[in-house]
Amino acid sequence: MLCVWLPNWPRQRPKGAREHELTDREALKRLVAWCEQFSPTVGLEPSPAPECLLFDVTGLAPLFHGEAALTEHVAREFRRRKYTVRLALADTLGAAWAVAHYGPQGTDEATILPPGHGLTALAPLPLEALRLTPETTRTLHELGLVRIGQLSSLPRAGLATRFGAELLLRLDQAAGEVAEVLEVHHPPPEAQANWTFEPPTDRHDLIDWALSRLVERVVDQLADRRRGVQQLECRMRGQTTARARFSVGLFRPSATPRHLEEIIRLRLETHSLAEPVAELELSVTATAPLEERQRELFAGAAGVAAQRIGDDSRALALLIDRLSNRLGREAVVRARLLPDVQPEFAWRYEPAIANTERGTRNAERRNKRRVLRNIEIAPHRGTRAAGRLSVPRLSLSRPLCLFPQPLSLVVVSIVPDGPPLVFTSGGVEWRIERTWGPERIQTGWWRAPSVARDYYRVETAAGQWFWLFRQLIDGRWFLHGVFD
Amino acid sequence: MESFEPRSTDSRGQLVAELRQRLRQLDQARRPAGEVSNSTGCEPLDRLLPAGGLSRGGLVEWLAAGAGSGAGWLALVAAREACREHGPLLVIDGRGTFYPPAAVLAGIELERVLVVRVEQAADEAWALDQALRSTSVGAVFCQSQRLHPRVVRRLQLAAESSGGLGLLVRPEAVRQEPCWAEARLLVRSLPTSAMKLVSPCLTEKGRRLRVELLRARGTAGGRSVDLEIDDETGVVRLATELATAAAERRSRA
Repeated sequence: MLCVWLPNWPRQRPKGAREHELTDREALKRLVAWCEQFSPTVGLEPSPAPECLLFDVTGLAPLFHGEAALTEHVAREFRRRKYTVRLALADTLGAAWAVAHYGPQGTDEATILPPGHGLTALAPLPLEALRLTPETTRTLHELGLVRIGQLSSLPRAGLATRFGAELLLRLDQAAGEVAEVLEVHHPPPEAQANWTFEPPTDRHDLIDWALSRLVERVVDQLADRRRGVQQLECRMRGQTTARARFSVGLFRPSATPRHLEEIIRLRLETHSLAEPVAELELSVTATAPLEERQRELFAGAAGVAAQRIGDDSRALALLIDRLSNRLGREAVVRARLLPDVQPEFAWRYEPAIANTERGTRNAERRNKRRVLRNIEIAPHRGTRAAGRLSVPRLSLSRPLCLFPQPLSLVVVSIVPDGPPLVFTSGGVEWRIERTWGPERIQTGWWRAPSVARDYYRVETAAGQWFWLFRQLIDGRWFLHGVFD
Repeated sequence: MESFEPRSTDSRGQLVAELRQRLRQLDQARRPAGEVSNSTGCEPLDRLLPAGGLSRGGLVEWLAAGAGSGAGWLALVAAREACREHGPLLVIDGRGTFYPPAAVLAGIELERVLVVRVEQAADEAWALDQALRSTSVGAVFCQSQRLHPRVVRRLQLAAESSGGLGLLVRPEAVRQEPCWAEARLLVRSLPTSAMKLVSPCLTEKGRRLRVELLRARGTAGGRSVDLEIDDETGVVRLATELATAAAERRSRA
């Protein structure tokens, strides 16, 4: 078992525009797909806040010319992607985890324990390396037990009665006496079909034809179980080294070959190979029960209306699938309001197509809820401190168009802290006739960077409406929105 | 085809009106969607439009005279009305500036809104086309500066084929371009300071807009209406004509 520890994952994870909305666990899971190049069996550490990726590398060392070369290759690839990692290779999951976290410090090289190392190799490590609960560790510390080696010299029967089953379980897991199952993140596909082109081809009509055969086959495989495709993956292999892979998510499960084909084809257009295609593979990674609906032969007015609603919702699902698969899952979103006083954080976008990864869905939901609660609590306190409501009551109090980054302005006002009189933006001077405000928006000190702004709605001499604010810290003015 | 007899000059206006009606009928017969019209959420604006509202199966262009003119707000209110009966609202956000809390203030339920965020002009045109072709969408709302006339023509055909409604908010500069939409409205904000000179009792709340019908199928453009948006409720209504009345009284005296 190879353990790759990414210390302080919440800090070192990528935080680009696309990754911004993911939880830490989701971000780590994204890495798993990439890690499948090293081992087919990759999983996350079984913990509520995972920081480790675990690879089952049994029998893989010869492919990489030895275990040392394998770990070196993995470490190099991770570092090339600017990750900080610590690697350890051992017989068991527990031992690999222990050595990765508490093994020899100060070296970049991976620690490799010899086969059949048992508990003796772990003897000098501290007790924390056993992944015990903090209470058990504290009790052991109080008894003067600090290292794993000290435990193995104690009578086994006494350990169980004094410290519970947990301690023995962890010891046995590290020693390999009790098997620990690695929860593989990548589930085996629910349905799969592939097509080999002989000879390899770059003709679109042939690829299209093969694609429709493949779609029919996977739909057939699911038909017995009355399930529809929710997410599928398409892989293409070129004649030599070229590879392409993309995944297609659906708004509602579908078992209609024409619909699936169309969605896959939309994506296929953007993933062309530089060389003739030798193999095409479709694997269904998530399914859901199909919605059964009976058509009425003599439908009354209510029946017709219900049928129309059904048709409409199917048409909408098709539209969302098309848009999401061509433009990306993050491009087709639903907005959700958040009770946050700061205008740019008052809402959040969520993809219309939910992420349908099995097993961890509940954990993710819990994580999300936790994040949400954090967001909610802070601004409420903030609003009370600022003495304002986070939800404005006036219909025209928020602009329809809000700039993601406020634009810096040059403003003239009569009184130093008073309302603006003239402002200049983009070389154009606007004379202000009416102002409303200030509406003070202030966040709490616990948010960094915290904001304190005085917002003004202004009407120019021509009657146009803008939303400006003055930053209280330095008195600078910004244009934040336009009442389009 | 029945022929029209030449008439006297006083009935000429009537003839023109009849011909317009006939043209409108011919135009609508071409579309399979039939004559379904939506309110714009503002009665005076409905009266300005020949169909008594926005007819489904077409585009409506709202030309904004400068930034912050209020055209987007009027289009959004119209979208809200269209979505009450006909499915969800699709917002194509090509500028990345759409602000959902403002939509909530306009009376739109966010559960019934889907936002499509696009960067490239080609993607924007494609997403608009797909959305307008779908029979399941109540209205499509898009604020765009970069639609080519050819694209607009295609979008109009897409909306005709599905009976969808597209609300495009565009800059005033496109006024010179050919109009393929069902109606083209110019929205100009009115300064309240000018009003205040003639009527000091004018309410300080809300904003004033002038909507001019530049073109609509089956009618001559050129008519306009002054509207007022209530600051508190967001209701769009006919602007009070207090100022004009006062001015008239003064001139009479």
